[in-house]
Amino acid sequence: MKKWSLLALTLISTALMAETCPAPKVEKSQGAESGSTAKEDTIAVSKAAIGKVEPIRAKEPAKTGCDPCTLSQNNTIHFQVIGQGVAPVNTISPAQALALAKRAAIADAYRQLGEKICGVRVEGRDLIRNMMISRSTVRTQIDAMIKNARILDTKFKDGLCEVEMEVTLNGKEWYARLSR
Amino acid sequence: MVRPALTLTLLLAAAVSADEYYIYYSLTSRDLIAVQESLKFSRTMTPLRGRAEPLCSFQTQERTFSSFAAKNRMKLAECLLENSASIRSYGDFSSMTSQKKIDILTTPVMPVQVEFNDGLVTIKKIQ
Repeated sequence: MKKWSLLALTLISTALMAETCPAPKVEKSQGAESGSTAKEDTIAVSKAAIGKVEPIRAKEPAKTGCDPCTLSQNNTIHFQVIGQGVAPVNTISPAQALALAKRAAIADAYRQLGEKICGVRVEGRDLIRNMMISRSTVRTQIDAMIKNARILDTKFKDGLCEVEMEVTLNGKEWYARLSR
Repeated sequence: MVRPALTLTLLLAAAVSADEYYIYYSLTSRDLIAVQESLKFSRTMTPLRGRAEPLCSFQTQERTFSSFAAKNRMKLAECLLENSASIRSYGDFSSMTSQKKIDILTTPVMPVQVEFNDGLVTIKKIQ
């Protein structure tokens, strides 16, 4: 008698569990047939989800148009460099040293801006004699015209002058000229 | 009636004097050390026509542009460079010798109008 009552209780409890915890429909319908197909379906769903996410991520910068490294017609880019200059050894006063170091730092800052905006022309030469490199030379050349560069900050310490300089490129004005 | 008006005009002319110059600035630095700098200016032989746009202004006690430029060369150079500057740089990196780098910073020859007015000098670029 006890056995029958225990069996009935277990049956009732399993039936209740099945009702309270509904399983996903996909698993119910296909789980009985084959477990592998169900896995494939779930993978396919996840791939589709990734496929949906990726284009959105790719579109995000284009929507906002705030890619900080690429000039377009709608954005503005700030080029910021720090030029360094050294005071010559044979200066007669610290003021002269500062003035000369600052001049050299300004020239270096302009060179860096020219590098960034207009690029560098590089020429390399290797001289090989008797199957050995006897001379190796790399020459760089920059030729640029820069307008409206601003000096933001000047620091002078231990004979080294640092000049922080900035140039703003407006896409409306410069994109057409630079994209040629 | 004519005399006071004439004196007032003369006084105003004395207070505000505008001269026109051509200015050129060049700076050469070698291995991050300034080696040569030149600021050249010359008064225009004929009056310049065109719109004058203010570049910069400084407080000074000088009354002539030559004395002002001699004492405030760096300020003037920064003002000119901010407007436009041409940079040419040559780097030489060799296995045999140490590296050399020469930067030549120049401004194009620029026509400017210089005004001295009550301790303030205003430099305007003529377009």
